[in-house]
Amino acid sequence: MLTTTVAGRTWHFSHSIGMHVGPEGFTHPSPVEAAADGTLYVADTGAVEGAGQAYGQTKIRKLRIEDEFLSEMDVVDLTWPQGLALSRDGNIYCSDAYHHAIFAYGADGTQIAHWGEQGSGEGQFQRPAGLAFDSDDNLLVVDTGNARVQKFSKEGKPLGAWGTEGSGEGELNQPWGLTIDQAGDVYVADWANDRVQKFTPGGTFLTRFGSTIEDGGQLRRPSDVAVDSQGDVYVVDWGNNRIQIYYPDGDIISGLYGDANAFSKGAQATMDVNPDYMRAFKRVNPVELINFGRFDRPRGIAIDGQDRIAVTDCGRGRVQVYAKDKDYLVPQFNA
Amino acid sequence: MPDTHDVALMAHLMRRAGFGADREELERRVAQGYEATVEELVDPPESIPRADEDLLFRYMPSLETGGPVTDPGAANWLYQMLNTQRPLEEKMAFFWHHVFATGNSKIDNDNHLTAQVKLFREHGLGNYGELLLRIAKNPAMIYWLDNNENHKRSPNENWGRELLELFSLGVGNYTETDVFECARAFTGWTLGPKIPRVPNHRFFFQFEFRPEEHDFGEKTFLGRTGAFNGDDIIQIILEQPACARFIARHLYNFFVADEAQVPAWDIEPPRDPEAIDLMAKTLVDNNYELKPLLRLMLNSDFFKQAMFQKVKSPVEVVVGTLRLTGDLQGLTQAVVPVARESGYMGQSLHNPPSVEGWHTGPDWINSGAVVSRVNFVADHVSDVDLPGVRNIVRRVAASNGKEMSPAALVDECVDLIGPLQVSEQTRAELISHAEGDGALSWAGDDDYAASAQRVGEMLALIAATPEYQFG
Repeated sequence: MLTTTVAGRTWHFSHSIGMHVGPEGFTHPSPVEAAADGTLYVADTGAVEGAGQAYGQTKIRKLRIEDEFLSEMDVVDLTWPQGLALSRDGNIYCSDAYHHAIFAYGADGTQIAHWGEQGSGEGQFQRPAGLAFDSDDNLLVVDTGNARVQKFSKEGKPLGAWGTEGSGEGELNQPWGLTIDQAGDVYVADWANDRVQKFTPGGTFLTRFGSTIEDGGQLRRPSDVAVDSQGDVYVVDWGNNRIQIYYPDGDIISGLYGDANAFSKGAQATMDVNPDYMRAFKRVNPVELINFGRFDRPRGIAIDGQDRIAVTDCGRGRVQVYAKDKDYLVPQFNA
Repeated sequence: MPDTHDVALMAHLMRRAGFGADREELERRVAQGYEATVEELVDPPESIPRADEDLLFRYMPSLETGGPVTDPGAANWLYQMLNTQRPLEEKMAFFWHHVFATGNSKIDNDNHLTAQVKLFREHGLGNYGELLLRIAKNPAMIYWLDNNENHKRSPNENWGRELLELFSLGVGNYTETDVFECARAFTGWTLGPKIPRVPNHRFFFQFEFRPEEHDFGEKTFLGRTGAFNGDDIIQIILEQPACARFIARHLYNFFVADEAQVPAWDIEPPRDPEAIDLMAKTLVDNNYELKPLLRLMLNSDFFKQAMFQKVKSPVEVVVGTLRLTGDLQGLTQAVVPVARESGYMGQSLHNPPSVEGWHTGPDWINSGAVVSRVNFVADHVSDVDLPGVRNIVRRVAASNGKEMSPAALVDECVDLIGPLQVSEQTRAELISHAEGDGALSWAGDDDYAASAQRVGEMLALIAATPEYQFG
């Protein structure tokens, strides 16, 4: 459905951005970051070199959430981008699990910093992943293979770490995405434990998201998490191809499954000059066509200052955008 | 120290029911016991994991997307073969890829091949009859053998013919009329038009049964008459004695010892008729469940006595070498180029030469393929930085004190690369070569490093022997 209404909240599917080919398209859009004004940064994972696929190199695209291409950054070193974060001064940071490093780029796309090496010591990484800046403009980094969260100054100076490996409360197993809410609490997508965990800024466990009972709130290998202005928590349920939305206490509210049944602007332009593909579309059973809009390996999520929600739909080479309607509409209007 | 024969037998089991194992794993399994190992291979508990495919797709999403080339899918499969702890499950998937040979050369949509292999992985140790029904509805197979072109008023015999000739009965056990009637029964088993590949990556074909395309009329098939559909046809096939014998012979050729090629099976008797009889009977007695048959086969004397009675397939050469040397363990982009290596030796994953699959045994060997085989293995086993080779060097160094004769070097290397059986002539030639550099010393760091290189060189030489081509 294009609109999801539950518990006094409504999410409208807005539009999709990009397609899997073309100069302004994506191949495998992965982490995404949103500035408050709706500027998006998307790291796009390229094909494995030599795999014979017509997909390009890994890159970072800067665009508007309304679907306007702005620029492409010069990121030749990136291979396996796993996280993105925007600093207060407008620089974009990207983690690279292949190089076990963090790369930082200025607003014009030039590389301004780079640190990290493989290891388990202070400041070292084992496949770094999710990134977020805290209110002091320090960078939190999910250190996947070391099952911890490390804190750095934005120049790369280590400022501490917390987290241990395991499946018990507060422990982590191959964590991926991370976000920080308005209160400063930290949410970590605890990927291999099929849950998201919420911690204080110092790393004390607070609560979990991802049900352990059959209430529709289960997760399978969640990849990323975001919190909107009202405190609702969005988890990218990578293994189940959906977004799960939770109350702040961890109870499930609803799910989004992907609704991009209309072409993106770029896709429409491509179809306009490829009438045979358009004819092929018309042959498809309408029941099957619903799968065109569904998420296929969603990976990253980011929310801008207007609670517009951008989800990278990796398997489909696009970004899906939802808008949250915050004004309560009594059900009788749908009667 | 485990008995040498026990280690050799376990190595034989792991080569056949898996893709080989290093010495540490062999010794662990010898301690566990032969029959217990067979049981673990045939019926692995849930707690023993497959390779973590999610991990592969997390870091290399392009390997999940599919496309016109086989590189991503072949790399995925190589990763599974290298990292699974359920090796027979993976080997059976490979076996069914031989039997139900489907190629991306025609499919042009490699994620369908990956999906088919996944079907084999999940059901390949189950029931043959159920697998036959699943493959009859598998989109890649339907497209490969044109059953989407098999209509009530214009039957296409391709699927019906290969079902009888190559997938269940074999030539000589059906007539041309049976082929036609079989094809009629499968009319309407087709594919729905799928969402096109542009503009948002590829989608999957879905199986559809279209009653308006199906021939509901009476058919006469293998002596039976009725308004048969595809399910009925498969049931009748399973009732033919030839069916169990055909599958038994396929399994014997793949797991026990090289047989004549499939097209010759109606004129060439089996290499071991008693074994085939016993295997076929076991299959029938167990309603075509495969686990009882595999259990019987792997524990049998005819299996244990068939050591080195098969030429290794290219995929066995590649995966066995990587497992022996510990190369490409875990996450690495190198699975993509290395997954092409078996193709240079004559076996491209996801691209068998035809629906008949690959010709096996001596047909694997020609001048070009041998060079590729030897080069690949030699490059790996001579790389003393690889963890598996380091372990071999450590064992060689620990075996004979600080000094070692060339003959002892040869014997240790022949043991640790297999254990392999080499002729006296081969052994003499290897010793003669080793004598050129005299005795080995493991006394100090420099000597150790120099001797380690000589171990690597000796392993590479052994990889070039005729004996090493057999598994």
